[in-house]
Amino acid sequence: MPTKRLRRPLLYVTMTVAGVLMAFPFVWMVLTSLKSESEATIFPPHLLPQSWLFGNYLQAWRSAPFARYFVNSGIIAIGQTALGLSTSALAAYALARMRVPGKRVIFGILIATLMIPPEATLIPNYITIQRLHWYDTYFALIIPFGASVLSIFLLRQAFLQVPHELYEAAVLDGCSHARYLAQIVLPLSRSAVAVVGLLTFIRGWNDFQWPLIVTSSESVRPVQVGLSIFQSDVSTQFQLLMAGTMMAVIPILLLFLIAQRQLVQGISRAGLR
Amino acid sequence: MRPVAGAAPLEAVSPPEPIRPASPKARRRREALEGYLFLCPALVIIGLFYVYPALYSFYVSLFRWEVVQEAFVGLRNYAHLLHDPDFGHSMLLSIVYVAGSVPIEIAIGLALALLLHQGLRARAFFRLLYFLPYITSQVALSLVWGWIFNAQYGVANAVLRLVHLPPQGWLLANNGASSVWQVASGGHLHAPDAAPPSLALASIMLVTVWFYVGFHTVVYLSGLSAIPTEVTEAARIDGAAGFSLFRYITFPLLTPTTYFLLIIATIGAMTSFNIVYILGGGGVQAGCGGNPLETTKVAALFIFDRFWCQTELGYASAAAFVLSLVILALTVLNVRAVGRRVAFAD
Amino acid sequence: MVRFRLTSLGMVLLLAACGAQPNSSTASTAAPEEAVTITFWHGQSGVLGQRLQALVDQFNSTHKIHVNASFEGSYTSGQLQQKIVAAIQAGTPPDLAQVPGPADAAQFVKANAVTPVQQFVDSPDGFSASQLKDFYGPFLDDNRLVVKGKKELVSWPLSKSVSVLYYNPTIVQQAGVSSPPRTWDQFQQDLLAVKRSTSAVPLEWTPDLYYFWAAYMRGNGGDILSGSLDKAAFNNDKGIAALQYEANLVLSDKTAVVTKGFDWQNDFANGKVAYSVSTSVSLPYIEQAMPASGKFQIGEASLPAGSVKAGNTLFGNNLLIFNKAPQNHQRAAWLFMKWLTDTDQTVAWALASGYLPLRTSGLNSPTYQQKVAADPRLSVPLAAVSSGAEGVQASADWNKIQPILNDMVIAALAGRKTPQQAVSDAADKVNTILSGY
Repeated sequence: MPTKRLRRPLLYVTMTVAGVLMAFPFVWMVLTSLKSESEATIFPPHLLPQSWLFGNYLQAWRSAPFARYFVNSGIIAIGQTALGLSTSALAAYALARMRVPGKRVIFGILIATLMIPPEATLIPNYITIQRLHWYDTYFALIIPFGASVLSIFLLRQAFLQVPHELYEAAVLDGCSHARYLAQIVLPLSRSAVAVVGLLTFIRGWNDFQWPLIVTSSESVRPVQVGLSIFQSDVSTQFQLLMAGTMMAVIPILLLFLIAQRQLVQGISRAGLR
Repeated sequence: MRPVAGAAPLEAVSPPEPIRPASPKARRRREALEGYLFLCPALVIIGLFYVYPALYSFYVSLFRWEVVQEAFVGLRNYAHLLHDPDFGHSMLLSIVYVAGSVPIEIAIGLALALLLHQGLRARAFFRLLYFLPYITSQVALSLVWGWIFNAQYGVANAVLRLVHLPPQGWLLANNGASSVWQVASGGHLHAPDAAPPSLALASIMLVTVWFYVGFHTVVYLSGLSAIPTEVTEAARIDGAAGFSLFRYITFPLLTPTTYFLLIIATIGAMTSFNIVYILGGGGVQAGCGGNPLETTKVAALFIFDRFWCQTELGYASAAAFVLSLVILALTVLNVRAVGRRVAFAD
Repeated sequence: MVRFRLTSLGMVLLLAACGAQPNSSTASTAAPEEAVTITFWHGQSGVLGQRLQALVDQFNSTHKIHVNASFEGSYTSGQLQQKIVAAIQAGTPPDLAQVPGPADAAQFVKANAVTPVQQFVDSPDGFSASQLKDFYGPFLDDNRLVVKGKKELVSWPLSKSVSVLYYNPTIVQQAGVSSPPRTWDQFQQDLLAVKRSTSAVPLEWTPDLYYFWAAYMRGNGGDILSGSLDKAAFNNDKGIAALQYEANLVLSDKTAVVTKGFDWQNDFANGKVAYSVSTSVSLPYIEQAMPASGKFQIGEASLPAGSVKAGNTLFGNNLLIFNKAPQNHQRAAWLFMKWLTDTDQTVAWALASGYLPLRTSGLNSPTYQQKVAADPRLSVPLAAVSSGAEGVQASADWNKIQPILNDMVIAALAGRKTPQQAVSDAADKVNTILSGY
């Protein structure tokens, strides 16, 4: 069919156009990070920097204790992801596969909590943190995000897709729920687990408002709060802010590259039958 | 024939009684306890940091509460809200914002996921590109977009100039998005047209879509990869190809994913704050309430303003509660629309 | 856009340290300092934050009191207030915090969370009447609120700036205007002259109630709220005339262009604009935005005067002590605030931040005088202050009123409402708020 021959190139073109549109502001960000201060805000805007100031990155790095900030961001994001995956997987499994009275009610309440605007939760959570004496500690940064209805939702959907015959077979082999979850369900839901893990990590890594609220010391503050060093009352050092943002993105990019394979791995069912 | 593993699960069949010597009742009780145990950690955290704040918020909304607690006023805050034209306007803007961005986000996300699923070369690279906005800090990217849309030195107007179109006010433009070809003259502000969205809000919606498309793509990719190849192979053998393959096999099998994304995106858009605040918010001069003439003051901005700038905690809490109820209504609508074929519970 | 190098602050501090003794301008303190650690929440990020921290470090190294200063969110975007309000809810406010202005101070006073500084000013740790005169009157007035029937000093000034008129001398001269306008009518004429004789935009600025509706109105003797802060006082010919004036410039004379945020700065810096209205702090940032090839000396002047005075507006931020802090913390906070606004420090902060020195002795200090000699424009804002500048009125409801007034201005400038209609609508809303719903 002649249309088939057109199909491939057309797909490539579409992908490229979409790619350009998606990446363009990002490219702008990168180019700006290499410009001088006045060049960054000049009009009409120049696309390419007049001189490529790679030193901006060094300057940005030196402007604040970013090494510490990156470590903190890592601790927070990894902590949230590890804790979040554990609690969410357990809860999702219970809701998907176990016979628990009141399951529907619980699920309904969980979904309901999604609809609460974050503004309403800020003050009570701040008060809770203070009462627990967690202010300015990693606990305050990790625990509140250690469970997520979104993750539970997504994992539950994935767990429901695991065929029930597998469970029956496992039970015949003397398998407990916990083992079944760990050894059968999770590996089969690798894709969903990877998505949940990645999204949790990203959210934790990019969070700005909550870390600002529950911390005061540099020793626990993450990179996003640290980036405010480039903005003051009356001005913004755009080129340094962009450089700092780029530095903050790189770990996530790497993580995404690693997690990509898990994300798109198809599941071959052949071995199950 | 057994239901295919990847098919949208219908009402799942409850597992048959296992062949065990223990009494069924004891076994059920054990399972229930175990189930609660599994649920415990998540429920404790969510209970403490989501449910308790929601209840506390409701409590606060029953008082006249500025910086500190004052008199108990019952539902007076709510009554006041219903008569507050600003709040009504904000809710309308939120709904416009959601209706205009969520379906487009999801559709483009699906389209890109399908593209990436075709097995073309360099798809890993493009996957990364599409996901880049989502993984970058919203604050920094919103600043960049604010730049791009800057009426005086932004790239958007520079591009318009190249194709001989008149420059627009973009984030300052309170004229309707439908009147985008009007010539900008004199000052950079225009009287707003009757119907939202203004060009300002439309610009913000564009940025929102751009930002979140990657998320939908990734989730859809995960969903697509969960479709067993035997199913698509079988369909192909039966003669399905291209669009009909999509329509009768792929899309229905993606229903759970679509359902999930629709709900999450709607809720997210209704509570969305960062992007709208930076692009459409005020800062020191406008008093954090939205751009001039407030055509971008979605509900989340209204609530932020009432909480922190006008410091009316009671009133703001009531507004947050009402917003939650609206989101609940929208979610129920979504569930009805898509959820028919998705199992809600065993 | 910020160009100040840390070294210049270092030099200034060095000069300050080698100069007068730290406490030479105050009475000897009654009791010796206790060694306590106090928490100080501020909203200065970026370079200003670093400079503030430098001052804090200097204090810590020369005093027994230790100040833990931390950036807790930008104070211009509501983040700092967010944190303070949340902390008050939790019963854990800091000892000392930066607050935007009398309106926020009024809210916290209403919430019974504040210890007014008046008691410290009157104590042996404070100032005598003559010493207090060293501070510019308007700066202190900006911090006085009515507490329990008496007007007293509640907060203490830290950073102060004032609205000013900026102009491009080249363009202005081209239009045949020889000096900055003394009156509003003159200003209107000058703008028309610029429009006639040059291709520049006569006036480009980001308008709100301060720039310059309030200035015009106050210059003619009007004010926004009544003295007792319970009624709108702008719903009269003075308020309408002020709005009409601006609307005319934009809509009928077409000599003015409206922008958002700091966007006007770029056009102005690129030599396309004749006049703009902003705060005294903006000057270095406009200069930094200038292209290398087109640098010019920006002119600075007080806003034009009405029939009574030039109604310049004060901006900036103040410091506030919370009453949850233990007594010795409160006193330590006061001693820190006092040091921070002492002659040498106020000069150092002013030069590092672009805000104004708070005291006449600061203006007259050799360091500052040196700078004035090098750049006479530095004396313009202080002159504007002395000629009767005022901050916002200290109403606890001000944050609710401000957006209404801003909308009023924008509605009139966009031609959506007539000034009369806009003022009347705004006054109705304001009165509803002030009467408590």
